[in-house]
Amino acid sequence: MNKLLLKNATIIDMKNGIPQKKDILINHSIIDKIDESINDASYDTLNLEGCTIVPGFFDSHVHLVPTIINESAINLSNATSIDEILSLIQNKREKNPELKIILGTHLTEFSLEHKQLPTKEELDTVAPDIPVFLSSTEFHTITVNSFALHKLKLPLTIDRIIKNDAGVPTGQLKNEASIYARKKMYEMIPETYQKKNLEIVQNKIIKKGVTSIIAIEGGYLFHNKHVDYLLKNKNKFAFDISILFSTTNLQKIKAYQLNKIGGDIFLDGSFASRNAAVSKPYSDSKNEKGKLFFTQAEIEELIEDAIKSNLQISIHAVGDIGIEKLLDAYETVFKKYPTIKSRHKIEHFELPKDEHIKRAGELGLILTMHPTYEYFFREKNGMYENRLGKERALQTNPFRKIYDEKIIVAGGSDSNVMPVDPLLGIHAAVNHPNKTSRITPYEALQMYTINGAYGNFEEKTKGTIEEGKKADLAILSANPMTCDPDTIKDIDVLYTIKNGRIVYQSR
Amino acid sequence: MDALSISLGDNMHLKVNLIGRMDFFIDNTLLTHNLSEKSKGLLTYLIVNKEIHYRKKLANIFWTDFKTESANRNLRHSLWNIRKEVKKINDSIDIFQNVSKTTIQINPKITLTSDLSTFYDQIQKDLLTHQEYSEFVKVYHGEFIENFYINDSPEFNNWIYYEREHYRKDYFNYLFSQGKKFYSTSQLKLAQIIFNTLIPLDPYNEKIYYYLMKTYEAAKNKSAAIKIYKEYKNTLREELNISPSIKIKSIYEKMLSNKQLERKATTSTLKLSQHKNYQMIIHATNSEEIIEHFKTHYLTYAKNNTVVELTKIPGRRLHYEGIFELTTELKYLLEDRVNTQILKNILNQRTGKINEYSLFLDFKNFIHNNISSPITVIIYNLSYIDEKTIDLLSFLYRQKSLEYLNFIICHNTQWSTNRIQFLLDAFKNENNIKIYNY
Repeated sequence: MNKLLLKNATIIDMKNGIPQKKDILINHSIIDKIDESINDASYDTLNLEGCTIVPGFFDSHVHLVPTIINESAINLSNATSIDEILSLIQNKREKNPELKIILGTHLTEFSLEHKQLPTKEELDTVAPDIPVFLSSTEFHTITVNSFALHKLKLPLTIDRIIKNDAGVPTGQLKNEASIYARKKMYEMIPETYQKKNLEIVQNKIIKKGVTSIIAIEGGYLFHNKHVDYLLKNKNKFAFDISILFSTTNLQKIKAYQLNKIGGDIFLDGSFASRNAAVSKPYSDSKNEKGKLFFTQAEIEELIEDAIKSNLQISIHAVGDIGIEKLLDAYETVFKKYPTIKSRHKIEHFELPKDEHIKRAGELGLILTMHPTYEYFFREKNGMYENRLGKERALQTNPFRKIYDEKIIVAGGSDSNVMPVDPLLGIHAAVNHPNKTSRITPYEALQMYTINGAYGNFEEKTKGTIEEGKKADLAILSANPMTCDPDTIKDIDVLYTIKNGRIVYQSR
Repeated sequence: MDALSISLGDNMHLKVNLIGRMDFFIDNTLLTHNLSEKSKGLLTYLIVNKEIHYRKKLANIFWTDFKTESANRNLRHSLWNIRKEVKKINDSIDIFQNVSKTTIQINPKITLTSDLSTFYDQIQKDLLTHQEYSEFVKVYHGEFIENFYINDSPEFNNWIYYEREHYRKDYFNYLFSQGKKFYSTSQLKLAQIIFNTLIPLDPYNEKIYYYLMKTYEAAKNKSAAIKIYKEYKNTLREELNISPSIKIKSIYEKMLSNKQLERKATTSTLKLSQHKNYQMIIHATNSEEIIEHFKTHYLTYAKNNTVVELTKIPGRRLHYEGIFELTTELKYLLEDRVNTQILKNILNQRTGKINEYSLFLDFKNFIHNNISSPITVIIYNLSYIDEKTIDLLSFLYRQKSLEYLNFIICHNTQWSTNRIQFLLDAFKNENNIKIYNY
């Protein structure tokens, strides 16, 4: 469809915050005209009475290839016993006898009877002949069967292969051994998995109104071959993909001719793994305050090298100490290069102090944040409260303070950890459990539209609904600015339009 | 490479390859393809563990989840099958020995050769040459029964895992010790080859990188050492998101700093060789490596240019010894052009009472009268020079005699004396003298 007329909808153009009832004329991939009443019988016309049109959503933090791969994985988050895990594996194999590898995600011993993970021998009973890899949510631990253990060829001195009293590996790999095993796991996954799941994942994403994503790929938790895969296949997707390679090796960035670096370059870790660097100990482990994975000199060197190479850089910092050290590093380097063009980023920024927010604003940094954390981690005795304690957990993701400092916040799902669902993200930011951290629906919409585009240097073509811009649009069943805030997450995406073409429609 | 004989028997020769791909030969005829996976595993287990085994235990290792009777029956069948296949090739002797009804072992009377034995024989000895190294790595060309795994024999699989790790460790530890030996005996090329071989085997093991860096450093290839550190740092960061230890980092930083100094020194050296504006150039540093670098550079320079070299031979000179050494060297250099009377006046004072002022004046006159175009004097180590000779340098400068003799001096500041320091302080602002500090 080259010509399309969208009639009678409410438009939130993301320019002035005022929804307007207007018609939109799309000619090929561009918004040709926006006016109060357009009539042209030569155009295919959609009557969108009662609907709301927003710019196509921009998800600024997606691990796309792992999301695609995980489509074949067994979600173990609801498993309550080892028998249940074994039964899930057995079912998976029975339904998919062609599987060459079994992947499981979100495995945690805390949900299991006796709080013990399965052993490799237990996994062998249902999968003696193909590798099994079961990952914990935060990738800290991986549990494998004997077949996988044999295939891994773990290095001699790697930390830490858990062994039983007889010195025999149990199948549980932690820390470095877990990271190493993840790499090998990705190497064992045939590309046919990606091929098979690509369409499923793509449909799930466009169903949520998403037309652009930043795919954060590679790095120590994932695999660099995912970057190659996306470079080769990104044109096969119905949405735009901008690749952010989580490497520290600038030579690789140059070789791939990318204009940005980072994403999940972990300065610190995560709350779930208790390795996000925090100033006060974790509430559920009084001796732990997380860790920094880089020395100050190393992180400064990395930022400086990126800036000297004219790259946009983006680094992961979660805890208040992680954030502070990253701000220190940016500040030091920015002083050396006062004329640099900015738009450098911090990913996550979950537990900043007030002074950190102020400094981030002064430094002109863009923050990529994940409001859905407030939806999924916030339940009573949920991860935030467990790890940080009640009082500190209220300080996470303080969107209001950040917006008040005029900082640009781009919204990201952090898929495959969380689902790709911008409306859920908007809902979570608007309904933040800490009322003082809530932002308006319009501000939350900015995160997933114009701010995402700006963070990716695409604000001239995307992020707002304007004549001459790309016809990337999401058509919603209700207006998030006027509906009951509690119901934003229930708004349906009726159509997703990418480059003027309807790539999804719900009815 | 021929494997070692294990037994004295001569009726049957069982040759096994257990490193890399598993293979069995009876009297040089391949047996492997005629055996089931379980039989191959069983045969391997009995060959590696040559002691007597209870059949019941073997049955349990290989048919873990089977009922006892069924497991025993399977074991019997497997043993029968191996025997049958072996007998097709050689039926002169039973490959197994039934010690009793309930036990079994590999027949100790057969001749058994194994690449594992060859491997263990080798690691009892030191490697001496590159050829020996190449042959040794050919022996360990893969892992113990590489990729062999029996789906329903978990205990056997655990055993394989353990054995593999064990042989890998032995291979690693042996090669690592050999690498260190070659490093300590300055057989640096071989040490480099060995340490580089070990990296893929244990890619995050800092000890390998540490020794590799030291080896390159000893081979005066700091660039390679620095490159190795960077590769290690990059590997750790990209694959495990960790930093190298402080220990290896500090070695790198020291090398880097010396490298930068060397580069600076080299630049200065090059400037020096072209620069005729200075009558005396002093390179001062506390780095042994830089001193060594200068020495190497100027020794080469001296081979291709007409120069006088002092303190080439180490040792602190006695009072005035440096002056006489310099005079003698000049005498040889100038040969028949020398005014013999002044020369005699100087050298005669070696055995008589020295009038210092008269000696200095004679030396000045000697060079003024005999040298037509400037001669360069290289002092490789200023601290070997006696104080009186240092006084002479000062005297010559005041007498404008450095137009005839130019000095290039290397000074290790760790060995500085008050007299040397005084010289450096006094001359540091003089236009005709350049002091480089590294």
